Amino acid sequence: MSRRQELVLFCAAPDLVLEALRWTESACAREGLDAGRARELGAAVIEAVNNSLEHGYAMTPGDVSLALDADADRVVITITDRGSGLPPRPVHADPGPLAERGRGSWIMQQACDEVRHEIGADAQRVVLVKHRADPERFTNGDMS
Amino acid sequence: MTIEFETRGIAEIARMPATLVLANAASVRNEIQERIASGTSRLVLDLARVEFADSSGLTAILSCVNSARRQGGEVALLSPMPRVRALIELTRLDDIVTVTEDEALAVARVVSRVAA
Repeated sequence: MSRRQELVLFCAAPDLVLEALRWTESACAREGLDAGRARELGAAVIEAVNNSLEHGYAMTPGDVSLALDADADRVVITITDRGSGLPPRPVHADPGPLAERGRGSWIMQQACDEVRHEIGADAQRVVLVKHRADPERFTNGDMS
Repeated sequence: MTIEFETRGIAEIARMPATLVLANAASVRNEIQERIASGTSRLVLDLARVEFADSSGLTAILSCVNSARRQGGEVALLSPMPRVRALIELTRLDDIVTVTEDEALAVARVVSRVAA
């Protein structure tokens, strides 16, 4: 059975993204996700919220909502904005250390088990999925 | 002021702020770029106080590395906290710049680089 926690950042601005990070880590802790995985998920959430502000709202204030759904196997965070801009395309290959763009998408994909972009008529969503156990992820840095 | 600069011979150490994210990445980049433009191109970016960075922050660092090298200088990264270090390693920034816990070594690296 899934449990849901929600946060709405009204008129979100870049200085509020850390609030999203703190909420993510706290909500994950309440769901019993280990701290390392919660930090990875937090890093992905920051990039998704940044995308909403940069691309969805073109750096003008706009509402961004976060919802965390958890069950026995995984934690899913959905970030929703109602901006008019399109999200950046997913990056499927390592952009490399010299890349000026694409680093945020790469971080999201490396920090999560699944990333989905859903573009609706009146809202855009990024869905971040993190399994509760996956020993093959982030073997090069524990983010603890 | 978000960054504190300390002189070490011909190099400078820049003590970075507590976060390096979208909200402040541009101002941090600009402040360091101004320093580089004024002639200080051998820089150690001290990340010991940076609790969180995102892709914007890492891009700002990369921009400073490129600017310093164009001026014949070099940048090294000092003492990133584990969360920031994980991002540096994930994005392979450590493939192109020195990352160390040793301040003296960091200074030596940026001083010893010979201008191209």
